[in-house]
Amino acid sequence: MKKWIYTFPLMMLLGGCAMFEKVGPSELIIHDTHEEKVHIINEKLQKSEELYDTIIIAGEDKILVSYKVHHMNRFHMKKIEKKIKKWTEEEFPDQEVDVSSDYKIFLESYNLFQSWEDGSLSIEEAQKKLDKIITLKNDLT
Amino acid sequence: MAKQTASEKSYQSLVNAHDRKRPVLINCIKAFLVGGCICIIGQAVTVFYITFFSFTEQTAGNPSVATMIFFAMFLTGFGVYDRLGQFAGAGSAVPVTGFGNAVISAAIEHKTEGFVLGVGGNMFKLAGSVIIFGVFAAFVLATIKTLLSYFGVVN
Repeated sequence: MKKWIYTFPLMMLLGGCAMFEKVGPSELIIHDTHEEKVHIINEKLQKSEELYDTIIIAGEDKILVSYKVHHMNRFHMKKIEKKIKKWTEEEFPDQEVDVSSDYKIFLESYNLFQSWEDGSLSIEEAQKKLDKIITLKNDLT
Repeated sequence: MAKQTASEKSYQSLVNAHDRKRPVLINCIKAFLVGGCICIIGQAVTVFYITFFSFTEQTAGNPSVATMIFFAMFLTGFGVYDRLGQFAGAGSAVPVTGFGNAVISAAIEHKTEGFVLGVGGNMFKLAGSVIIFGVFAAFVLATIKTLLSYFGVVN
């Protein structure tokens, strides 16, 4: 029993380190038309200190922005999301931009990003996957 | 407190002299550590659901809670959770696993009285009040929120 008290949290802590690797800022452009917008969004996200590991994916008609928030800033998660959303609405009024800080959305985006980099996805497949992620994000309730 | 008579006072001082002091700080630390460990397991279960199933951070809460209660029920049946409870006190009772423990330990305790009047009737002896007050509190909060958003105070 006593041994477990020390080993268990240690195991969990070390396991946590292996899980959440750093990604850094990443961009994925499925359709070339949005390239400039993605760069603008990426620059903006780079400037905000609360965020790290951002992934921006541009599909045919939608742009998905997912990010991770620094630990102490997680108290202001809703505020940060609102801020980014407002900024994108003002910057691109006629473009649908989905913003999410959810870990699942980030994970799926990262998977899509990696398989896109590998070159194992066609444009249609990537678009389909992006649509799936956005549906997942929207039925959070 | 009511006024004590002389004999009550002398008895109280006698009790105080022989009573063992409660190690409050140590108990708190134990409860903190064990409760924290239970929460680490809960977080691991949540991450498991997020990674391998199509749950998002917000929806993964429900299946994780159910799984944690299930684990606690199993451990209670095997007699592990009781020992943990003796060691950690509130640290094992306050997290949602304490709910599973309360259900199953009551069921085991009243098994000898038969399935209907014993197990069925007493299973929710303690857990029943958790459910009742939980549902009632949720109802009151939802009513307040609905009224506030109806009158436009919050959105």
